[in-house]
Amino acid sequence: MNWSEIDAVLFSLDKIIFIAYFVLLILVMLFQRKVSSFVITLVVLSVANGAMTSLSPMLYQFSSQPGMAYKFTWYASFALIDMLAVFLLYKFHYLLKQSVSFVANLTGMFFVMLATLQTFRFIDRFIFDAEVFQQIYRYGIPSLNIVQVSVVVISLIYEFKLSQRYLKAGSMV
Amino acid sequence: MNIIFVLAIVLINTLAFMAYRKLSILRSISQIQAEVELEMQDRAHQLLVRRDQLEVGLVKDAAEQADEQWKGDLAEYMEEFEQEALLRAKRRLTKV
Repeated sequence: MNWSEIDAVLFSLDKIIFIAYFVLLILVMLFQRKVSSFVITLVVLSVANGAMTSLSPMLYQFSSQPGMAYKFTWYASFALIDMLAVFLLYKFHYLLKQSVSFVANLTGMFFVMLATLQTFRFIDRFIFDAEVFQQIYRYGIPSLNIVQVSVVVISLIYEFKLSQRYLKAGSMV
Repeated sequence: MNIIFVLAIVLINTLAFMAYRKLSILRSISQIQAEVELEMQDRAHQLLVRRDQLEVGLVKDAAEQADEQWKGDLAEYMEEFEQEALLRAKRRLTKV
């Protein structure tokens, strides 16, 4: 696989990742059938990724016009979705009185990192007129997404094994 | 004009940080609650075991004294349980 193919895979990832979160959410709802920190995390991840995936083409068209305001819209929109995702994560846990799990905390950190990446790249590109963050931005976002999906899948397997162990222990008593 | 855009995006980022901080506080609260709940449950279990021992007559020496001490421990446990509930409610209201 050469670099152009890797690039193509990386940049078509957003749709695949959105579908992956959606499928994981359905799987969790089938097995758990109750609200948990894990379910909240998956709902927020699905909504945020869905919003980003559906807005990307429109934002790309809009931001390709000349003018700083158009460029700003691209970076600020993604940073705004990331910020709203962290807020939703907190608010859902608070309102539904759920303990914040490790994976929820990590997801919050992941969204903050994405928002920071948007901010740094915007300042780097349009204020300092430099390209320091170009590669980090280009490969950092898809890489962070891959890591996040992997963490969610591993946590799901771990939770499933844990619930199976509890069920076994319960049937033995 | 550029500075307004920078300020706007930095503001969005700061809000994201603030929301994450609130999430972290909520996580620490739930961890404290889980620890306290586990400790209280353990103490309640110990009290129940002692009650059972008293009832089946395993504690033969000074049974009355042991019964009095058990009642005292139970009262102390109930009081601490109530205090803990108040403290938790206060902590939740002030920190979040």
